[in-house]
Amino acid sequence: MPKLYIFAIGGTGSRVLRALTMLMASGVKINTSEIVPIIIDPDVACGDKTDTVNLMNQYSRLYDTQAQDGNRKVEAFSTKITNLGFPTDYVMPMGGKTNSSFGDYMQFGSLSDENRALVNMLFSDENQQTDMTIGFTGNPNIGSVVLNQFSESEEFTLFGNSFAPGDKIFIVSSIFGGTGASGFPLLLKNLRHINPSQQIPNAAAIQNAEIGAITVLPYFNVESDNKSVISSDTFISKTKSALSYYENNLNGLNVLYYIGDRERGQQENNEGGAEQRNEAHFIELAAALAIVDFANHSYPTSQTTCYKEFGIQDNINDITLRNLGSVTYTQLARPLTEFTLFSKYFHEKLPESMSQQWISDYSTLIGSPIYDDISQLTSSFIRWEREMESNHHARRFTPFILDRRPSDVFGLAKGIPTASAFGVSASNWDLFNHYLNKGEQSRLANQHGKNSEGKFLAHLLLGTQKVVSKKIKF
Amino acid sequence: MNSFFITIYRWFCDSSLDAFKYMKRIDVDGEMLSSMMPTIGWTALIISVLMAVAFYIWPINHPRFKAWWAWMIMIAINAAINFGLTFAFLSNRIASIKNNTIIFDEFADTNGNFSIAMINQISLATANACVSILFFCGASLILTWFSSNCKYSPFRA
Repeated sequence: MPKLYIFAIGGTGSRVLRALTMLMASGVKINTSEIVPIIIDPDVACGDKTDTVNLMNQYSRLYDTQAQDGNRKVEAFSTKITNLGFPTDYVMPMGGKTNSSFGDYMQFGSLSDENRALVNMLFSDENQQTDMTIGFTGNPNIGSVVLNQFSESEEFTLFGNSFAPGDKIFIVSSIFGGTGASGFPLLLKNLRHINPSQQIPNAAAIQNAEIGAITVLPYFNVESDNKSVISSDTFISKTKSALSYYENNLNGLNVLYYIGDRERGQQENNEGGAEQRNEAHFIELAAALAIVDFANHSYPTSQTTCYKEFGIQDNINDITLRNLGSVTYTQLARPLTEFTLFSKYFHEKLPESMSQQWISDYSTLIGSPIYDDISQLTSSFIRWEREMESNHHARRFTPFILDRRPSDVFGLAKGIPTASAFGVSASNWDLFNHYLNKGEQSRLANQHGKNSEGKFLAHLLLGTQKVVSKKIKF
Repeated sequence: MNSFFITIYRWFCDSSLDAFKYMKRIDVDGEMLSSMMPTIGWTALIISVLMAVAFYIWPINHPRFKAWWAWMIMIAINAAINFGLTFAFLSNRIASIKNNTIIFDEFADTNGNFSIAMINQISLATANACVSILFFCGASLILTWFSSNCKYSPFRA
């Protein structure tokens, strides 16, 4: 099965990657055996990027504990995330000195008078003094200069080395920021037109590869701040100018996805750095579904680009699973419900279940590094879901009741009934433990896990899958 | 089986006890009442096994009702049921004796009455409860291997 390389540009790219990792952890089916994320973001300490990298590392460690033969009965942790071996995990270094101001990067001081005049005409003093360690702060004109260098980096050569004919490429970016808006067309140009003198391995395969992209239109505003260079007032104008550029100059894409929302809430105004940590949004989850769609379908020609948009069934501001279109519902309902229940059990009930029979085989794993990875990943998953429900968003994704409800554990999915006999049913965590204690789960866990840690994780996932199939009627 | 059950009940009950004596085979001048010990014994065994099945397999087999105290509750209920049933068997036996003129004449007192002292009945009932506990423990040792939630109840093998 071909690999899927995902270039995630800027903060939006990182957040969409985060959503995609959550979807793969929960078992959303994606027709690729291996995903290779490549984050392009000059903001060294970007909070969103850091969170996403940590999440992918946790996912990878948990993936490595699972046997991936054809007999796997649980989809969670079934897709590999591969690190190309960059010095900074999944993040592609920019090349050149991006840990300075833009003026220093341009070596403004050593330019001739004519070139200085040209630079002064194209870039304001403010632009030239922009500290690039926190990214391009919403200035695609800066990004278009800096990002043009990355194809000359050693890391791009690493990418070429690992690329094989048949592999696919997907680009994720926003259109209203600084990094994504400039990086996306540049990246596409560099992929489709590789300079032979660069001697990039597999250049022909890359140039002829199936390439898809999603460009994320404005879906949030930022709080007004006179001290910040970022303003929501410029989002639409930047979008328009970028779209007009794309209309005539974006060639070589097999498929282009668009997504955005007129309903826009407010996020904190952070120019970049560790404090740029926007709350997760449903648009990012939907953007991640574009990656799934691209992997699951074939778009063989780049001569005529296929354009796609995303929609939900009901135009409401509090989206539940029932408000999604039928295809999206089928993709998301069961995996998200299973993994939410799995995460809730791990944090709400597992600590009290140490005397249960099923856990006696795994008692030495409690507190181990893998246990900590599961704990952190599931915490992150619940937090991700809570963020999508935030009142800061104008449109919220609220499919689950995430608060503790020990007397009605299985009624967590809004609008989805639970199974009962004559109106009576076990609805607490005891039923969960009951299925975990069954020998069938233990037998299957032995097949699914490569080691004791893997069996522990598989046992929990299989038990969750079983109890959801019995109790929740999708 | 009669000898088997008599032997087991002798572990918990003096065989000279009146209640025990009357429950065994009675043979007087050609009139016979068969031994009720197999009936009591089999009843205790079946009830004990059913209680153990209920605890380990279905309908209980509960992840929270699996600790040693839960097992003790089941054993106590089982013992109480068999304790109570003993009195029913004894009443039945007394009625059978009274209905047989020859046997009644053999065992009636000088006033023409026949009864089994309550202390004797309690002794036999206690012995039956003890035998049922024994049967329940035996069933537990076997059924624990087949239980999903109570495999380590009351103790981990």
